[in-house]
Amino acid sequence: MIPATHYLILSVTLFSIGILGVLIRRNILLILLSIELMLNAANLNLIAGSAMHGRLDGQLSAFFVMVVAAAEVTIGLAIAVLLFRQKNSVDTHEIKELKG
Amino acid sequence: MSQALLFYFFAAVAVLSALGVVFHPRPARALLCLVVTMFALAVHFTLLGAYFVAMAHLIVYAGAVLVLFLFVIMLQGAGAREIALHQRFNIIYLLPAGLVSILLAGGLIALIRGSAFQALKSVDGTAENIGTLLFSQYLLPFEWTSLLILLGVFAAIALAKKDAA
Amino acid sequence: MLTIAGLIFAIPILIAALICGFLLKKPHAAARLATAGMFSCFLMALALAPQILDLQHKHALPVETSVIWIGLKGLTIEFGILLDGLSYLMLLVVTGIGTLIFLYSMTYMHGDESYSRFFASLSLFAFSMLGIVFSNNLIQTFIFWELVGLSSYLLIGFWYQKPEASLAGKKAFLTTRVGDVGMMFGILLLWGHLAAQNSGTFNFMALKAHPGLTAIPALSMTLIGLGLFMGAVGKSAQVPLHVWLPDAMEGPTPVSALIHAATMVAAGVFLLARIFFLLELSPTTLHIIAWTGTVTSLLAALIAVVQSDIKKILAYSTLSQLGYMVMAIGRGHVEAGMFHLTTHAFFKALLFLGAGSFIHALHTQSIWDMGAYGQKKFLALFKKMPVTSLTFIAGTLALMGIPPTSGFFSKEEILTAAQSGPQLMFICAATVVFLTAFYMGRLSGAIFLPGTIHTLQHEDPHELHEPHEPDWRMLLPLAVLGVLALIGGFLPIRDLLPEAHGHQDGGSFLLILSLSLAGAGFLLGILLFRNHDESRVSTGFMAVPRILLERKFFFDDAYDWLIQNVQERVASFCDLFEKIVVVEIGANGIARLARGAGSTARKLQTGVVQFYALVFTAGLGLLIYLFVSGRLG
Repeated sequence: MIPATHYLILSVTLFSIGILGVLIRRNILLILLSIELMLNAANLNLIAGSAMHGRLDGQLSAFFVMVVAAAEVTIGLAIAVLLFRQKNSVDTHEIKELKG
Repeated sequence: MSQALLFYFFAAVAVLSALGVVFHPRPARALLCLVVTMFALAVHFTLLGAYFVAMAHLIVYAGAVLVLFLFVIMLQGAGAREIALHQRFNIIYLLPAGLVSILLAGGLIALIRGSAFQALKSVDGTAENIGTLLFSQYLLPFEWTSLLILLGVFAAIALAKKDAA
Repeated sequence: MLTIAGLIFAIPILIAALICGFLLKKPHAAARLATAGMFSCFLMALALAPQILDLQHKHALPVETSVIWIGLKGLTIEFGILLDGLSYLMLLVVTGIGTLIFLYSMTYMHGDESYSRFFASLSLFAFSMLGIVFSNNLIQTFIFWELVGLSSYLLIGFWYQKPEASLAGKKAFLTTRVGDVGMMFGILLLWGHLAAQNSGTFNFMALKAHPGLTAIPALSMTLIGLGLFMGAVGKSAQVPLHVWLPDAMEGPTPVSALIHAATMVAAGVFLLARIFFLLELSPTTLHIIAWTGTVTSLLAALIAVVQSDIKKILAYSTLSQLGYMVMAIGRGHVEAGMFHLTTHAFFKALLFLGAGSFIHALHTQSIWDMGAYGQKKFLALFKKMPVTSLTFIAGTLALMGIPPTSGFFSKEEILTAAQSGPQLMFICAATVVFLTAFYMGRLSGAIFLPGTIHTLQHEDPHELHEPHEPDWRMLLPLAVLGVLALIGGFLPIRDLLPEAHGHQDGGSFLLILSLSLAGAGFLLGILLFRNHDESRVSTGFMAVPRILLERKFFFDDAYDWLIQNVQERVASFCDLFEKIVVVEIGANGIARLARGAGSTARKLQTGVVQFYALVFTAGLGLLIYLFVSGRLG
């Protein structure tokens, strides 16, 4: 078998790439995509853990994460659509209402 | 041995396509890169014995979520167009963000390598086993998820309604 | 018995609250309620008499009840009622004279636009005064002490539209406050010394039996006594804090009678009697107290000689008599001081009310203007206002100490006390007897005898108002007080007081001395001033001291100078300090710092969410590094 460490490292790598995407992408849709990537990296972690302990609970957790992600995507996309309709842009640099 | 081969190959595929998601100039293609990542991850899930989760993963992500994304990207009408570098990224954040991500990854990897883990066992995540567990021990959370999705639907409708804006 | 005492205590404050709450627009109901309430208090107090006297004979007094108000470890502050002969006597004086003056005020203040407010303030005063009387500990005394000061302030400045009245109110409040600082100091010093022995207490009875008192060093004991005495100096208007009392006459005359002659100013004397067991421990303190009283009585009597405002004369006379009481207590004759306090309350309230009646009828406060009415006819005023005049003369006789009026008995005791002191003290006290008779003779001569020189200050005011007797509500108190002033000496007042020295007759020497002095003074006063001619006197033998007297020994001028040259400078320095250090560096500096920090920090808020995410991630990374380096060494 592949050692657990390898899966974990793969998961961390994907997670960091996701974070990088969130940090540097300007298109809000692609930021959402990066978040999906991060969620799946976490899922990989859970399933690897499930295999490590020889139990199915981790897999079920991954399943639930998936459900939550699906709900999150619907709302995230709805917000994105709304934003696009109002600002006619999905560029984070155009959306600076929080500027102090 | 073949298992190790599969792992390293699909690990490489996953990482490369993930990088594609982050760096590809065309949003639609970046999305397609994510589909590839999802497939690679599904392979890893299968390797770990999570057969049912892998299938659900493919259906939910590759089949539904990402198609939804595709719709929205195409709706904006700029999905297929190539975006210039300075519009694609926060240029001034590129260096610090890269540094931070690499440091984060490095820290976590150091943490993982410094810790001892048990060897992986083979688990049997078939639809039957998962289903048994889901409808016995995890029944209540499972029902809660249906409520969550229902709320998500409501929220999406409320937000996206034209006159609401 | 204590329940009734509690009821007496509660009624005035309830009435004050009721008037403030519901009766401000119904002045007559307010006046009736307040008077009836005071009267019921007096009746209840009177009903206690047999029980109190019985207990007194059995030596079962004092009785005491209290609730713990603040109970900390090592610091217990009670709120209670203490009844003994002393407080019972004061209770009778406060409620009794209070009732009469409430009744008197119903007519005197009639038609005033703030009629209700007047009665509410009077009730508040009665409540505060009862608080002092009933108090069983020093802290309660102090609290009610301040409340009395407050209600006195409210009543002196009752006609706040008059600038002199509101100034006088302020002056009274601030001057007594100086004394109160000393009182607080004394209380705290006492408690501090006892607390150092792990048995701090404020309770009078506990203090009296406290074994730790003797362990307090002599110097501290003197300071404690003097501190407490300072409170009495302020309230009872002793030199050098006496300056507020004459000015306090700006208030309505019933107030002058009740507060500034009969009860409140007597609170200082009462306090001295109450804490005499503390004062006794330091002979130095007693010595200072006795001399303060002597000097006050002499100075005030001298000043009274040259005043021409009837209320001012009576005010200085009050000062002088208070000086007597303080002197007696300083000499250790507590019972003499308290006895004189009671009789003085009778005749001085009477004199003030009589003066108020004259003022009410003649619309002037100047004795020369009053006398001007009877310019042509002999005893004209006397004929027009017989009751007022007769009672006024009764009060005058009592004040001079002519037997068998009440003043005679108490003054004899005071003189006995003075006789036991140094020679000089006795000479001063005897001089005061003469002076008292002299200024009262001058006053009577000016008012009742026809004059030759017309000294009216304004156009004949009495042509418009033919003087006449006021209605029964003013006359009844005069009559009652007149009777009390005459026969008060035969009342069983001394039974209530501790027999510290045993009642001794002054002896014929004292009797003859005081009688001849009083008679000589009175006759001289009448003779010198019968023609209302002051110029003869002022150019004559009294020309030089006259300036001194009219400037009231320069006390007010000295205080003005002090305030201008010392206090103003300290104040302007404090002001400067406050402006530069507290406001600029302190308050504004902190505000500027916060504002500067804010405007710098808000630049961090770029509004780009990803920047926040970057900072967040960097923080997370840092945490992980700390964790890893900690975990892996």
